[in-house]
Amino acid sequence: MSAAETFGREAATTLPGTPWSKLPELLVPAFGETVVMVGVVMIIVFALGLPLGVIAHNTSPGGLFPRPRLHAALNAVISLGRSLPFLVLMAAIIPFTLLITGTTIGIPAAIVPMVVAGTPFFARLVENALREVPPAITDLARASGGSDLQVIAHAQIAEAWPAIIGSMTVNTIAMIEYSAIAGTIGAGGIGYVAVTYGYQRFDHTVMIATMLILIATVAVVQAVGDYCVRRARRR
Amino acid sequence: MITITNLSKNFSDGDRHSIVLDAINLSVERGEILAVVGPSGAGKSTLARCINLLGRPSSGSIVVDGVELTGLRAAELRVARRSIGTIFQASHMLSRRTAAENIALPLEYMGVVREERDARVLELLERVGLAQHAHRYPHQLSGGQRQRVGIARALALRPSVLLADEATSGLDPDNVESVIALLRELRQDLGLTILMITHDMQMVRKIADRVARLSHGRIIESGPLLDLLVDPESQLGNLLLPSPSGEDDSIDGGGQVWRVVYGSDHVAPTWLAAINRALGAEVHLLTASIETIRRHQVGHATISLPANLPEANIRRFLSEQGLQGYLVASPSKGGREKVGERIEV
Ligand SMILES: Nc1ncnc2c1ncn2[C@@H]1O[C@H](COP(=O)(O)OP(=O)(O)OP(=O)(O)O)[C@@H](O)[C@H]1O
Ligand SMILES: [Mg+2]
Repeated sequence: MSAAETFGREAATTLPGTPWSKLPELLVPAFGETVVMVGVVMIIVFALGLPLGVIAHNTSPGGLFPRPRLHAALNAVISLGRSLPFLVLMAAIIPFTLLITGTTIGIPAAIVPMVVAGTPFFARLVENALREVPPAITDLARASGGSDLQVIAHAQIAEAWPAIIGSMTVNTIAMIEYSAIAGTIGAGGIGYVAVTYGYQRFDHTVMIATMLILIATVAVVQAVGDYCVRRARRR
Repeated sequence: MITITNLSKNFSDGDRHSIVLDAINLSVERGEILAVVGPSGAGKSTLARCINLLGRPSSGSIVVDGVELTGLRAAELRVARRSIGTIFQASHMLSRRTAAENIALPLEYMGVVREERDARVLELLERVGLAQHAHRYPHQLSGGQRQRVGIARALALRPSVLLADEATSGLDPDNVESVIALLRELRQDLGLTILMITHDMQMVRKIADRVARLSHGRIIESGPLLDLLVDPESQLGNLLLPSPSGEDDSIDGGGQVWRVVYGSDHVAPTWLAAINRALGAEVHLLTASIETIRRHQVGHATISLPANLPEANIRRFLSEQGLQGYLVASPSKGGREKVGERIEV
């Protein structure tokens, strides 16, 4: 155990817990930061992961433009991105994060590794969703005179849309989790509060409050996601 | 019009190669309905997919309305496909679009403006009898209704050629009738060239002008429908109009059994009585039927003649009468020997 941590824990026994009345002032901005962080990340992940998943699917043998080599390469990249634990990835790409954001702490520094981890995850989910669309659907759009882009938009993405929304839900929840992990590098948000107050200062009140907020947030995201999937299904 | 020359299609799966279509030659004239029949796995759907180039042929040429399709680039192919309507074997629809929106798909792709598109879709919905279901989603439609959406979609761009891959499979007899009527009407009104794949021999008898039988990737028999029906040696003719008794082996009696086929346009209705007079032999009529097919009467009969009557005499008599006959079974030395074979579709 490091000196700082030992100090933190001893100090925790002497410091009073944050009073309940002070919680909103601490947690509301933190929650706002989490929302911004996850929101920005998901926008970028969607914008990058959707085309990546579409290309990965259509370069495969049954796709619209089979390219076995490119497919294998994309597959390798996606698998690599998926195989590193987030904490390891975050540390490993610090030079890259520094290059892009000019800093290694705070919200911008957290967004980079979250995007790097989230994009291959989402691309894989999209690829799986597209694979579930019967080939006959692609055929009928092609036979109707659709271009590759039209076939992708109307037959593939449109048919897989409920599954893609489901993937967005899963991905968003994973990003909430990652944002809490990113809290350890001072990224801000609920995770940061949980680490600094709950862990380092042993503040049970804050710890419990952050847990409740995370549980509630995940539940709400899941419920909204499920509702959107049901609506998208048209049945 | 469709002209297919030397079309082959192989699938290679790792080191396993399979030849699914083997040097097919086939043509369908403008306004003609060609039925392609054959057992499951013969390559019928593969043939249809090659014609609209959903599957690239391994070799050979496909000319539709004077355009060689195999050499076209992607954009040119999309334009060429507008003149080919395709009805698929399974009645797939885009699940998040209504019937009307599904039918509109080819029109959207062609860039038809909204009002014109809506008008055309309405016309098509009426043509296939779905006007009151225009705004239903696929899961709210029956299989037959979905199939008719598929037909309407195939017709949306007023194609000159229609490929129908088992357009009536899974439909009840009423729906089959309405699809048959629709196809007939389309051929009549629009001069549509139709290549139709089916297992339904009754449907073939009702609308095909010509029939081709595909087996193991080859066309093994083809010809005009009526010619096949009155050719007793034609396996395809047999398939199209099986003898009414079903099983020839069940016929008893110890005599020689002949199958006789004729187009009654050329044959006197009294031919049966004439046998008696000409051959001086007793004839047993085992089965008989006369069907009107496309305004021509086609008669089928199975008759039993005394075993000792010389085959040559019988043949001579039959041909004098304009009848086509062949020996189905004769009592040979060892016992009853079956002549001819049974084939399945
Ligand atoms: N993509 C493919 N890869 C490998 N083999 C294929 C492929 N598509 C079809 N085949 C094979 O080609 C053969 C012909 O298939 P096809 O679908 O054309 O048959 P079909 O005559 O339409 O049969 P059915 O009457 O059952 O519809 C089958 O043996 C099938 O396994
Ligand atoms: Mg088939």
